[in-house]
This record gives sequence, structure tokens and C-alpha cells, in this order.
Amino acid sequence: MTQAIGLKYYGDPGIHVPPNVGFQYREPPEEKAWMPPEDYDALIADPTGYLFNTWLPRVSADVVAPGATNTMRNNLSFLKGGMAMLSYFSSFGEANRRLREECGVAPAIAGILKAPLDILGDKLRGFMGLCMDLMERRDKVIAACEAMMPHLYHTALAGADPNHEVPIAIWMHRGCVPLVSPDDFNDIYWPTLKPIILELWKQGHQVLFYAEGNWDYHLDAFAELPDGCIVYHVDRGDLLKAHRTLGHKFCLSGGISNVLLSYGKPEQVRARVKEVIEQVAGDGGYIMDASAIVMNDAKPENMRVLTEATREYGVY
Amino acid sequence: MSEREPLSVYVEGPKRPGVCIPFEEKVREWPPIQGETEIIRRTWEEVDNLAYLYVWHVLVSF
Repeated sequence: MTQAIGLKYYGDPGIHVPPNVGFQYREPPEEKAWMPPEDYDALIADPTGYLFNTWLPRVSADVVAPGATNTMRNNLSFLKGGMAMLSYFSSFGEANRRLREECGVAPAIAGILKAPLDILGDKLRGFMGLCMDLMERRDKVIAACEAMMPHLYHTALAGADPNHEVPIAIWMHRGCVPLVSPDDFNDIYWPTLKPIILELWKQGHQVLFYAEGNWDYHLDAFAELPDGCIVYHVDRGDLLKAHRTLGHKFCLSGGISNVLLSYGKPEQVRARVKEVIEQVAGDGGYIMDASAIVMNDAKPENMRVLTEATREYGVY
Repeated sequence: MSEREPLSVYVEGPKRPGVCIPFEEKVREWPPIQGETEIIRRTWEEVDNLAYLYVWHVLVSF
């Protein structure tokens, strides 16, 4: 799909990056951000129109803006892009069935959410541009986040599990201290994300907070949410601290370092699994998982021990 | 900044989520509808929503 539309920011495995690594996001320098600061008003006035008419032609080599010379290849980009995306999402059902039946692994998530401030920093202004905007045009940042809220909610809900068995995942990127200030989080990031979480919960959907990096500074804010409405995943944060602050309200997951899985010894992995289960899983409410997505640099013997030790110690 | 209003206050109007070309706009291009308007509306909006999700998923998922 990414190549059907010529997506410029996407580093495809096997093309732009080696075949055995995950895709890479290639962020442009600040002066070449996909969305320049003068575009804020257009984004705020009509987010979907802005994405189709301005943003998509900028990030895609084969999509042209309205009024520009059009070719068969340009028209094909929407046809092929749409068909490829449909094919991609349609394959999840079969993939989940095979995971269940052939590997004994249940799917963990369905649907996707990003926080408005994160998406502004990720794909629109870029992180450097966003940092400048938070100081120079803060009102525009707030208005843009507010304008995107209902759309990000709608997109998350559209992909959610109709059976309400697995949570929607939110991939949390750059909205935490010290990447932004406490005021940025308290005034913008959280007030434009929390209503989405509450509305999804009202619709019966839990959200998996995949807290990439370290979000320890914000645990008290997350504790404001209703009991059970999220699963909180720990990457580089303090799992014990998360357990103390959130464990009485939410299920936790993660906390097994990817560095340990890639470079540690099996006995170290076993010791860490035992420690985690004793510290945070004594009363249930914990899902064993690596800190971040496991890539192919993890040692197979360590993954085997992770599974075996969890089955051995994770019994009540 | 105080906590935001419930999301429902943001989701009305022609620029509402799930919509690229509102049915109310499209219907003006046609002669008077002879059949069930609701069936035609639902079909139009289902397909329109797919196009909407396409661009938002490029932004969020890829």
C-alpha cells in the first residue's frame, strides 16, 4: 500500500531498510515538515479536506493536489491504495485465526488510536516544529488538537473489536515529560485525549495504553480514568511504580526489557520474569509482555525461557 | 485549560467524522429520488465512510 501511493515518509523493509527489520518512519527536517505552520487554519477548519487536498499530495509521490496535472498513475494511486488497504485490514481475521489455531496465541488488540498532540507531532508538523508551535502559536496547536479529536475517535471506533473482547491500542509517542513540558501535557495532550478514552469506554471499548518510552510522570493523570477502562503497558517506565499507582484500577502489561531479551542470558530472563510476577502479578491484573515490540534480534532461547518461566511462576 | 466537553459536541455538521461528501450535498445532483431514500442514503454513507477511513488510516496507521 505504501508504495502504491508512493508514501515518502515510510521506510519499507526490503526496499529502504534491510528486509529483517521493522518499517521505519523517516521524519523530514523542520523546514520541510509535511505541514507548514501557515496551514493550521486549513487543518482546523476541515481536517479531512486538508488531509485529502493538501497533506496526502505532499506525503505521497503519486497523489496530486486538486487542480494539478493528473495522469493515469495519479488516478491509480487512489485505486491501488484503497484496494491495498482493504486487503491489508481484511487479512487480519485469517492471520488471527492462524495465530490462535497454529500457535495458541490470542490476538491482543483491534483498532488504533493516536493522541491528537502526538499525531500533530508525528505526521504533520514534526517534533521540532511542534515544539516551536507550543511556544509561538499555542492557540493554533490547541485548536488543531480539538479539531482532530472526533476524527481520531471515529477512526478508533471503526476498527474496534465488535465483540468487545480485546482493547483498542493507543501508541503513545511524544506527549510525555520531558519531550514536552508538564503544562503541555496537562493543558493539551491529556485534555484532548481523555474525552476520547471516556467516550470509547462508554461504547464498551477498553484501550491499551502502549506507553512507549517513560510515562511515569503522568501516572496520576491516568489514574483519573474509570476502573478497568484501560490496560497500561510499561515500556521504559518503572513497572513497580505503575503497579502502585494504577494496579488497583487497571491491568498492567510489559516491563520485560527488550535489551535483556536480545543481549541477556536465559537465567537473567528467568530471574526477571520471577521478579515481575512476584512484584506486580500476585493479585492478578498483569499480562506478561516485553517492554516494546519484539523484533528479530531477540534470542530464541530467551523467548523460550520467557514463556516457560511465565507458565511456571504465573500460576495462582 | 479546563477539561473538554464530551466528544458529542464536536461531531455535527458537514465536516463531521465519517463523511467526505455529505449525502445532503450529493442528493442535490440527482433527480428526485423515486425509491427508499434511507436505503440510498445508507449505501452512499457506507462507501463514503470507507474513503474517509482511508485517509485517516494513512495518517494514523501507516
